[in-house]
Amino acid sequence: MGILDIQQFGVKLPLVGGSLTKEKLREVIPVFHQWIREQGRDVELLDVADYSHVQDGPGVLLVGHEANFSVDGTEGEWGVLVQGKRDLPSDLDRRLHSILMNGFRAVEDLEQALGEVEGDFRFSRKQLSFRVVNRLVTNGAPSALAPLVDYLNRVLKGIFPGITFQMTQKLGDPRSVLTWVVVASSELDFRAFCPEVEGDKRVPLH
Amino acid sequence: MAVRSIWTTQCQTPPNAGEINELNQGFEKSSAEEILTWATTVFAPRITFSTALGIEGCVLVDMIARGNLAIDIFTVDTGLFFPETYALWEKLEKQYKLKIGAARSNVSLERQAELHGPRLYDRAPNQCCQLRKILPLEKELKGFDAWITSLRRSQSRTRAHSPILAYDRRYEIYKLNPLANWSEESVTDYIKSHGVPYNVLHERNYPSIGCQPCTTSVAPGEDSRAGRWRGEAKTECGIHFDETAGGFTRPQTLKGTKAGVK
Amino acid sequence: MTSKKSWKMRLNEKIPEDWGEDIDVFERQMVLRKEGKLSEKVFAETRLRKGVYGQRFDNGKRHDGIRTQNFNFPNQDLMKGPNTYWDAPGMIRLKIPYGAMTVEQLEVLADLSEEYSDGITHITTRQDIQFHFLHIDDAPDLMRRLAAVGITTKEACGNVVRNTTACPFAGVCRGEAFDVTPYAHGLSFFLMGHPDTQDFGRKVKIAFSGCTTNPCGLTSFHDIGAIAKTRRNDDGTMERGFELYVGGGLGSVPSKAKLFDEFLPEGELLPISQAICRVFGQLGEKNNRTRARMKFLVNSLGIEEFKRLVLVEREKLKEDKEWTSFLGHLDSTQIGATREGTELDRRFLNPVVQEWIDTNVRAQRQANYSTVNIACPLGDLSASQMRGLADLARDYVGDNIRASVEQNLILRWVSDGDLPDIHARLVALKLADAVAGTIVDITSCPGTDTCKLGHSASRGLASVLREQLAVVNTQLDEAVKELRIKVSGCFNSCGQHHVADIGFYGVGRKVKGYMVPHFQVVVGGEWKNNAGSFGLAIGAVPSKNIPKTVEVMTSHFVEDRKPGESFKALIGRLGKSEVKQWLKELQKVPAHAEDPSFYSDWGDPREYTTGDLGVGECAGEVVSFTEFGLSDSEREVFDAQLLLESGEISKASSAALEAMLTAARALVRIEYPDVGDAPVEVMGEFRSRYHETRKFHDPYAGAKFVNFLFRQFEDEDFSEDFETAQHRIEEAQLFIEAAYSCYARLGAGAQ
Repeated sequence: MGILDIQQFGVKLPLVGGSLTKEKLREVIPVFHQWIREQGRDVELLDVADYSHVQDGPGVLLVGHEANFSVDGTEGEWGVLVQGKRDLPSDLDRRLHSILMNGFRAVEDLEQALGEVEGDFRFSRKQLSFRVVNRLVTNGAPSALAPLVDYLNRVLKGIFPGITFQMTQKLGDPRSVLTWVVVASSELDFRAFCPEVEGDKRVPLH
Repeated sequence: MAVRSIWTTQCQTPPNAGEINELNQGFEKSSAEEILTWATTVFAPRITFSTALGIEGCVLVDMIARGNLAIDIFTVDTGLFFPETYALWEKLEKQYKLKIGAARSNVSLERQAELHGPRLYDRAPNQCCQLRKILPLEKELKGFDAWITSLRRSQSRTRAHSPILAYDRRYEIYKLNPLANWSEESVTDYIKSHGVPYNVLHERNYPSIGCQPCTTSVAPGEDSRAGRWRGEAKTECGIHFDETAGGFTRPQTLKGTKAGVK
Repeated sequence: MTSKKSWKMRLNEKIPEDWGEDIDVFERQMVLRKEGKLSEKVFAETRLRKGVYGQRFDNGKRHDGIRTQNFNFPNQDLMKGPNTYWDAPGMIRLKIPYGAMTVEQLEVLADLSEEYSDGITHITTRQDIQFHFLHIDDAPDLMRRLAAVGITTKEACGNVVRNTTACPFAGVCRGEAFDVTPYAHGLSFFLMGHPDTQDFGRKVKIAFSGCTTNPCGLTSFHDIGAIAKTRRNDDGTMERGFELYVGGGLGSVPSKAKLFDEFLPEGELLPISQAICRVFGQLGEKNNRTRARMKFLVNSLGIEEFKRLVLVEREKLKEDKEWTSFLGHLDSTQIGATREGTELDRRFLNPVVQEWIDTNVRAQRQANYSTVNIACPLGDLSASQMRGLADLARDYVGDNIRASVEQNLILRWVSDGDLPDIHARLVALKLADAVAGTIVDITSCPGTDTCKLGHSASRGLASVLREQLAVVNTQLDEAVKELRIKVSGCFNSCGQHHVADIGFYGVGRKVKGYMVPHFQVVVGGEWKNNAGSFGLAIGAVPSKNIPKTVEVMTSHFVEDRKPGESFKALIGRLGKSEVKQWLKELQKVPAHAEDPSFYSDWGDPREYTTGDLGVGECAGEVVSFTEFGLSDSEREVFDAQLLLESGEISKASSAALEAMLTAARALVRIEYPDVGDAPVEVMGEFRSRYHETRKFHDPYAGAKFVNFLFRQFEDEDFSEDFETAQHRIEEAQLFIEAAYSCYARLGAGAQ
């Protein structure tokens, strides 16, 4: 098991506008059920798990085969999380691409579904955190994993040409998962960079 | 600690130092039966009464049987009791239909003679008491949280300040003396009015009865325990220390812990 | 930092050899299954015995509220059991004997929940831990990482001896005869993997309790229940032993355990349990799952005969050193205090802390020490909460951690002086709710969230009730606060609804052509006295009206009770008829157009059934008299309960049968409207139209419910035995429930 084989990459886009009360969080449930009905992502979507009763926990989850989607409140930091699990593209670039694209798209869709007026419910376009949930490779202790960060940087630059990314490892509880905070030099306009998403609901992957 | 929980409705909690003083003030005005009942609600099933089958012990056996109280009873059988004492033991069990357990040394008298020489009680009564009484008692008390005895303050000077409830640090156990403030007369009255069996030796000037080799009768006017270990500067076998309520400190090591407080 | 090593290589030295071998074997069996060399059925049982369980939708189908979807798993042809897809998420249950866990284990559980599950560690109603949404390919590594810290999943599921439960206060409780922990430990590991426990028709559950009065051990509804006792022997020595019970169980028809021995000496605990397992293995039902629990064997043989057979078997057993070797080191399960016990300074105590102490903290037998009950909503803890709890335990109590059957975590040997600090730490973890052991602290099984058998969203309901009650908790009457609510997603009672003051179990009902999620309301159960009595259902209420039902019932409890009266006593005094009146308005379901929220379940916005169900004109009429007939049968079964309450036991028994016949007739009339009402005719028609055609058979339970009818019909001896009559009523209720489901299935099929 080396970094080239890791499937368990996650991307989390933090909430920056609006607040996720328990009631608001529960509005996510029907949205996720709708996504299952549509099966419009490159992840086989299976079920919804409601953990809104667990404070600062995984929130509301959409369980998929290849990845989980959630509105996650771990340690009180709310955001949209897409967490890879298995059977993602074998090529690392594509795998990272897939996770990121799913993250950006989930944010777009959730903002639309949850906001009552345009823009009252917003997740970050400038900052994201990148996680590796595989302790065979690494935990949250200070770690280099430099090649991985290079990969990530390259993939991000591929999606958002002209933008630079600053990457810092988040050093908290060494037992928790490896997390890198990524800050973009300017707002990432997902729709502008990926216009094809609007038409065909599928994120281009392969 | 006052704890309201569905589980604790039937279980009261053990008293701490402050509560012991407070309880003792109330106990001085309570009947022995009330004290025994209180102890049962707080400590049962981990409560025992150890008796040497003296006259006060018979009073408490009677009370426990009448109240049908869930209190275990045992005696430390040194193997050296008077035949009259063994007869009384049997009689009490039969009359009250209860079991009086026996804590015994795992060293037989014969083995003790081999190890320490014959008639150890004559040469070193303290060592004999230690082997035949205190060690078995200590072992027996390990399974309990509360220990009832039949001490009375007027029995001797060493017992004059015994409180009704105390925490015995030596055995790590709550110790209750429900008859602490009883007079000799009240004991006799109780025995008569309730038809309680007692050791016939009491009628032959043996107010306090221990093991046969170490007990003699007393003359009129002597301390009631003067017949014990006559000729030795010893009136307590070592089971009971001079415990006063003021001497209470919280238990430092506790049963149920492997290592106690680290 | 990167390592190419596998978990197997990395943890090799930390895993006990035999445990490691077991996991390797399982991994090889997975390969054999993938290669088609092991049958689906055999692999399924192997998997279950390793704790790897199925989960909802693992047949690859899921109703998304509009239509049934087929999942496109990558391995479309690979199955991990009959009709169970390899790639479908599953559940894994760990085995946590008597709920005892260490700091290190909490940390590993947190890691595993993040890596292989959904970030949640779930505490079950049997002091166990479960992870959901696990992929079977991850199971071997997960098992290895658990084994490295002393946890096994061996025999956590399947027809084996399941996790042994025990009072979480064992060793520190005031009322116990002695600490049952080493005995629970000894028996648990003696029976695990024992050759005499491998051939059961159904699972065996064992529970220990330190006393007869309190319910922490729940011995009354276990296959084997042992209550600590001491006695004086003739030679005057003190002896430890157990009041032993056998043949208890909840399940669909609860059965109270029967007294096997008033005093089983400690040295006989293991051999007698082994002999019980042998008798159950030899004589227990193997083919019919629904009659295979030990309770059926004990009831059919009678306790005296069962006991005789066990004693005969005991005599034949070959002496085993293990029977008594554990008695030589009874203190091996003891974990002492890590901090000196100090008194709590109450002078500056914040009222919030005081409230929490009053509710969640319980003084130990040992002065200046207490237990802290951490209320975990629905038994769920996030990974960061688990790590926070591990830190908390490390700082204050070490490995003195236990899970409770009420899905909470309990810290033991807390120095009283540390309570305010611990409260502050729990506040930071959002786990300081002052609700442990109160009406707010609701127990629930997984229900439709993840369980394949769930009818209704028990967790959704429990979550809503918890939130609503938490708001009013501080103003609640003291008596109401102490009531227990327990919710099961179906009649199988994993949520232990029978022993709650107010219990609920999920059922689906068809109302005017739509399916509506309902819960049966169960009253008359008792949590105290070791779960002293089992309640009965008095009527189904739509899910969305359950919070109101709780409100109505608790208000009545406050207003109508006499001083000191328990909820069960109040129900007994007023009678179930009166109590049922409380529900009357709440049982009504508003029309779909008026309030569609009634047609979906708590926390699940999907329409509860095929929402596009149209009702044809002709079918409409049929529907109406079938519905009438079914509701008549419900009334009749309720009457049977009333008869039982008033002591007319044999009448109650026959009324239960009558009720089933009414329900059966209602179904027969769909096909044959002119059927008469003579029991023999109804039975004949029902048998040929619904049983032989399997139309009535439950998709999971098969002929279970129809057999209730046949057995009761054949057994004309309406016994005067109270328990038998209660069983018959339970069975009738389930039969009627099955009739409702059958009717709903027919409706769906007709479209």
